[in-house]
Amino acid sequence: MKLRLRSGLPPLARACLAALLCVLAAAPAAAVQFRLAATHTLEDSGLLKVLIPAFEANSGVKVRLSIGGTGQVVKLAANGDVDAVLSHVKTEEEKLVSTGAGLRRYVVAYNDFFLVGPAQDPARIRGMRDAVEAMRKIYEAKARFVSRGDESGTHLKEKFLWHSAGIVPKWDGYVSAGLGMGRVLLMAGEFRAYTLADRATFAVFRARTGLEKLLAGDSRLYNEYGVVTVNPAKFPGINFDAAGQFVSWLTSARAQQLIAGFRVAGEQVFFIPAKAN
Amino acid sequence: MEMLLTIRQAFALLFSGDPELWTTIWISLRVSLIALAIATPVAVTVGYALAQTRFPGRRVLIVLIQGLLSFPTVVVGLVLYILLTRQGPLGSWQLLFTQDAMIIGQAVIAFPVLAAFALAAVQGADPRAHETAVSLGASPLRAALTTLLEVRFAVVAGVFNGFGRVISEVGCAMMVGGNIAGVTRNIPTAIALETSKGDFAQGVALGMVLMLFALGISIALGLLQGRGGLK
Repeated sequence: MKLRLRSGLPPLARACLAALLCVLAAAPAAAVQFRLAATHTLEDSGLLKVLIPAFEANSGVKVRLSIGGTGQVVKLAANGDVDAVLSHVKTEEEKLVSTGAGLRRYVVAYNDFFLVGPAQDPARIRGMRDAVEAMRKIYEAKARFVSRGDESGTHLKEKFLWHSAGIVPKWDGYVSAGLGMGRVLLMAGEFRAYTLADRATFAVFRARTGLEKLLAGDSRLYNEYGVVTVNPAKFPGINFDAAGQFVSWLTSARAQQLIAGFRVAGEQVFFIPAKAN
Repeated sequence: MEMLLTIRQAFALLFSGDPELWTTIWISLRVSLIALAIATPVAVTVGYALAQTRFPGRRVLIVLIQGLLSFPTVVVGLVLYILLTRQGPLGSWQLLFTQDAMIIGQAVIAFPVLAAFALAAVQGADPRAHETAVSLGASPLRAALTTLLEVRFAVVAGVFNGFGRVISEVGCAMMVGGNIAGVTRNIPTAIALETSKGDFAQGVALGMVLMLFALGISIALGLLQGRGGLK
């Protein structure tokens, strides 16, 4: 009687396993990976779709981009889960540096916020220059207003304006939507309500919402975008070289040209700070 | 360590009496329970009909319903949004960003779950219950109810499943509800908001609150079902 020893796997399975191991072993060394977090505003405007590929082509670094709310992306940086973070809340960015999670903050670009609203403009704010007074008029008219409600840069700016007017925003028409800028603009369009929006996202969504730019130009509506590199001393495994490359490129003349040259519906929506960093 | 802190945070949140939290919980429960109340009778009827009757296209319908079980909730939300937006066909109803829109969305999401479970339940029913009822002179409706009573545990399992799917979904609720504080912010959309604020612990705490309620409902229903329920 012949003893059939079933040693190991049948031939077909063995061949598949060998092939799989060959493929895994021969996997090419991954290009240098750079984890970047950025806020919704930069993505919604379309700017990152221009900048990221340009950076990747220039440096050979592969960017892994995470988009989220301001609090979320700042938290990622604070936890060392990303190598750098792009946002537009200077106080949060500076806090990253002061707590040691971030190494340094650099200014990338700036633009501004608008008060936008329905063409009928029930609160009569069109053409005003004082943003705080305009917010007061919206409150007094009990007009509909949609707030981001999410502690984002835009929401913080809105809260600052209410605070400056000495108003606690709470009335039937005041809606606190926990949504990103684009969705809030769409909601404001549906409700024919006022809202505070950044120049770039508004340019992207304006046509869809039927809202109009009613107030701009108040210096308090200034909006600055910054990048913070995460501290490699605090978090081992941070790809500090790639972060450094990114920041150098981002503040270089070429990138600044791309940022200033970026157009939404034919309009410039990001501006380069006058003095170099 | 972080996890223990988060669990403590969850209980603290629950017993803090925070009115915002309780509004959020109420909205979650109200929307999901009404959606189920609307979807269940329709879905059970459809499931029963698919199991017991034969008509052309029956197989196609069954395959479709079972396929819809994997349909992303955010796509349900998108389709509903397109219908309800101002420029859309149902724009004049002004349902967008209301609880009613969320209820409609969740009813649509729950329907295939409830129907598929009802179908499987009735298919697995002992045919003698139905035959006996008919031979005793029961009307078709009465006989149907007899069968459904026979397989009630399997049908209720479907209801639990449907409830689970809608109480935890965020894609549709976000899309047609808009996460408006005090109006359309339910627990899953509130968690999404906390996440976007970077307050992960608060998000998990809210999730645990949701779990506690789901467990509570599960226990209550199990007790109601009597010995046959909690086997």
